[in-house]
Amino acid sequence: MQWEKVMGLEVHLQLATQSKIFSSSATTFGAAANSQTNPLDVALPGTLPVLNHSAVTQAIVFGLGIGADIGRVSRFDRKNYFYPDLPKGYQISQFFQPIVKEGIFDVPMEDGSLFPVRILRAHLEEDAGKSVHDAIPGHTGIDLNRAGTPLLEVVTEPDFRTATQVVAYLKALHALVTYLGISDGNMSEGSMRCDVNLSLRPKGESEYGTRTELKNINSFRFIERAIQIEADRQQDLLDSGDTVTQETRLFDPDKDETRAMRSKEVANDYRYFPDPDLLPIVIDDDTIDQIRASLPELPTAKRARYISDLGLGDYDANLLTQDRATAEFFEATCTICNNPKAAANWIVGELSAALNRVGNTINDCAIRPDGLAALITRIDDGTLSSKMAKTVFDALWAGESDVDRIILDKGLKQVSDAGALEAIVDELIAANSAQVDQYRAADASKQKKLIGFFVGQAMKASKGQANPQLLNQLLKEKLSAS
Amino acid sequence: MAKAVNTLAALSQQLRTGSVSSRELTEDSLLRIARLNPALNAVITSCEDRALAAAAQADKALASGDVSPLLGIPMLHKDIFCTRDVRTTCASKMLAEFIPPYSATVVNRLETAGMISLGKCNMDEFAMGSSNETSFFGAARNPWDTARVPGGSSGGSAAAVAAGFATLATGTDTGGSIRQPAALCGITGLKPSYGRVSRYGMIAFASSMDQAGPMARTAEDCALVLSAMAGSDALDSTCSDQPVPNYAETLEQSISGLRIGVPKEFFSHHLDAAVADAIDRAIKELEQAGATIVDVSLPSTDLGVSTYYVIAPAEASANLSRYDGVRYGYRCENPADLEDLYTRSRSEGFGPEVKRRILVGTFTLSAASYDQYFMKAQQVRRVIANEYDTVLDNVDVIAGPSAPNTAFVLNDQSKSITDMYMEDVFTIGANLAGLPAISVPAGLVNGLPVGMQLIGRRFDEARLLNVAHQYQKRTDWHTLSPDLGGLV
Amino acid sequence: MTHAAAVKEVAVLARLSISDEDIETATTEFNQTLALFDALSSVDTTQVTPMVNPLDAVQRLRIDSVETLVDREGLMRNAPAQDQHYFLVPRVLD
Repeated sequence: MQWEKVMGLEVHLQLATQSKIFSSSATTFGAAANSQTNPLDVALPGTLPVLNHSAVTQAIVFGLGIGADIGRVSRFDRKNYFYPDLPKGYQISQFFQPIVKEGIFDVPMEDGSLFPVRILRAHLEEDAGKSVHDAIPGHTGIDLNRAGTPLLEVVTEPDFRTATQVVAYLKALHALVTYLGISDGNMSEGSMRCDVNLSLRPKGESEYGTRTELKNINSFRFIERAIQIEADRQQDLLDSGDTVTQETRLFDPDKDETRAMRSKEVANDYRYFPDPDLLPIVIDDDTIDQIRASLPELPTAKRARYISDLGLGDYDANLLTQDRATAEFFEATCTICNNPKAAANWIVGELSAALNRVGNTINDCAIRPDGLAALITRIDDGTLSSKMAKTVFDALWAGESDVDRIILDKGLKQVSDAGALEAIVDELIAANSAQVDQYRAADASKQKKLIGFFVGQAMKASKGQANPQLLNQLLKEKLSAS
Repeated sequence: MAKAVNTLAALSQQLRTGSVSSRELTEDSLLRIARLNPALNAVITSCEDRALAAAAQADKALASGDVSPLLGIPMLHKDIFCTRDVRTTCASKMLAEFIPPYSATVVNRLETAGMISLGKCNMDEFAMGSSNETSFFGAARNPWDTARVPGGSSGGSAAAVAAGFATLATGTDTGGSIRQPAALCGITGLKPSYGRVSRYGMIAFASSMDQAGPMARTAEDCALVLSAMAGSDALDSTCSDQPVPNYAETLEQSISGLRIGVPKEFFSHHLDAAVADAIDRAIKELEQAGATIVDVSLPSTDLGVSTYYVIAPAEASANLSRYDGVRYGYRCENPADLEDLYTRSRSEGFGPEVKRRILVGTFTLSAASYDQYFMKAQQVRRVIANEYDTVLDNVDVIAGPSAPNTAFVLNDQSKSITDMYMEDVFTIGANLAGLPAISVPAGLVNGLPVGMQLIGRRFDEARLLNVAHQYQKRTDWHTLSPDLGGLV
Repeated sequence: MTHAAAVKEVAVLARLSISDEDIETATTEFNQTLALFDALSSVDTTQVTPMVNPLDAVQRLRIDSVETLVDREGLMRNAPAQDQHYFLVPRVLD
């Protein structure tokens, strides 16, 4: 039987606020256990939630960013369940009336096409704390620093059929939220967490099969693998006539398997009901207009502009718009050197490769846009050959910043002075009469090969600094003249 | 029966003229508590040293000319308000050892106003009850007859004021918990509009109905205290930012021409006939003061009980989930695993009435019964609130009984659980609708106090206090005190 | 009419235990309380918006700034079990 995967995604984004969603505790990652807590976060009796203004604004920013409807009246609800990292015994979330309603998010695919993903809703909620199992023998330790961190949960329709689509969506979502500045999207620190709802159905069938929920996949690397493993598991079950159990499963990258989560074994009844401690959030037109006016240019618009106005290819445009820092780097470089194609080539090529080698992001890069722009300018004005440019790039990468200084110090100036080159060429012709005769006797196609000898010798004589175009032109002229 | 010695307003005068010091008042109160509390069990925790230290401070301020009206006056808090570094139990085994690291806004405000906190009053466990019998620390007694209940849930506060421990105690009212014990103990108790007083630091029972208010001898005293308690609070989203008037300033307004509505449903078969007579006379008194008495109807009065007992336990079931034995509060011995820790800590830490309500609340919120019970009750709640609003479009104040009967005897086996719930039938409406309501002493039946309830428009506490004060100027029920001679 | 088994299930959700001796009484009381709610069904509530909170106001928003109201020692001083600034519970798997 041919099976088709059907997937829907729930992505939790940690919003970029200073303080928690309902208390004034800090949200910094990695602080000492329970040091970022207030009475509310510990759920002391009598404490009450007060909503963070930034969390609301950032949720609206997101909604406008994907062109979704904003819930003009939204509410918070309580989701009831017991778990030690959930101090109140309920999570404050938005179940009945989310702040962001339906929207369509166009995801750029590698081939340059757009894959429209239907966003069902995005709602605000508070994060849980952390259970630490290895700090104190025989016990689980509870750290509530993360409890109450604002999350935006973005829920899609089951629109995904391949892991590639899922990854493309997550990358685009990551790009969007970092552009919007509403999340750092850092997966390893849990700022972006992905749950995949996955089911199989016979190809051509329109009914959905029973799904499982894959929880908390925290790296792009694991997503494709996790999906494949779980799809294979389900397929084995279905092929052998068994059924899939609806459950929550965890992907274990070390064991390369998914397994049912113990804590989710008991079917829960979350008893959602409107939280009486919080009043309706009412968002008026003015607020929406103000927020809309403050939005930056979004990746999709940027990408289109790079292609149509700057003449970039789909591939480069995709890569450059994947995160805001890269796009800003690119645009800053272009503004100075006025050569978008060269800037794109360098950033997508050498610079990305170098960053990947050391595992850094463009934010921690020693090369700044002005340095790269100066390098491109010196190529464009003929000062540097592409080979020399690489040497200058390496010097910039190593921390030097003044391109002209590097050129001077390393003696990299390209010889483009026709007089100086002419002297070298004349000397060569005089010293190598046999090769000159051979060249002159050869037909045009052979000449192309034979000229290489003279180029090599001339380069050697110029210590590599001869302008190659000029040298070629001179050699052709002198060798042809008898 | 004896005439009450003092009101808060009178003590305030004496302090400012220097005829008495805060230290003397505080010592008197502490002495009285030490003497009478064994018989009344109205106070769970008293804090002598802190009170005396605060009194010394107040005396210094008074000496330097500070004329704040509440400065130096001793008072008590219901043990539902968190008090920093002072044990706060909510009358539950669950919190029997709990020492909050912060104080409720109400506590802070009254402290800032210079009041001296003597300690914490007994109550029904987590404010769930109408008799004070559900307290883990044992029932408080009614000073008028110690074989009887003081009412609840703020029973300890009512008994303490009636017994003269202090001229003021704070209370909270979710379904009648200030007004019913005030009525049963012969004092004045005000439940403000929902949102008038901050709930921060007040241990939650039902978040959409809980309100804190003053319990004192007179409406005038309540006015003085409410002015200090009320007002917006950055720590409570449901606390209104409507400006707080000086409630004392409007007390003397004439009530001549005021329209007072009397709902016929408040004089139903639930109401004891002798209590009904007392309330009739009280209403006549208002008429003689110039008010126009209007017959009105609140047809859904009885439905209020059903509505309340769906909504309050549902909210409570979630509010009380935090008592899980993990971060504070009672934890069972040697839990085998996490589930055992949860289940035993909660089963051993909560009393029967609390557990009953958690069960019912958990049930009505569950997916299968949400629409039938919880959502339905929220809809009926609006129907009831609309009835009140319609009546209050036509009248300034609604008048009726606070409770269906006078204080009943402790451990009354003839009262079923749902009979007990009917104690709140006249008070619940104001909580469902979020309206302010006050209970004022309005007579004695067989030597036991009766309370008249006045319900006002949202955020119109000033009018309620005005009517209550005018009534008290014409009557002396609020000046009566139980004879406590036999208790010492 | 809710049966004892159903009451026990609700108790599990609420993390309360009801012993076998108590379950009969608990079920009776439970059903008495539910009977009190039957009256609600007599009210016509079509088109009536549920009332969540009687305060007719919108949510106030807090400025996004960091403030510590109580220090960690204060927040943890009532903990039944703690070590290295963690609240402790019996070991949980997952």
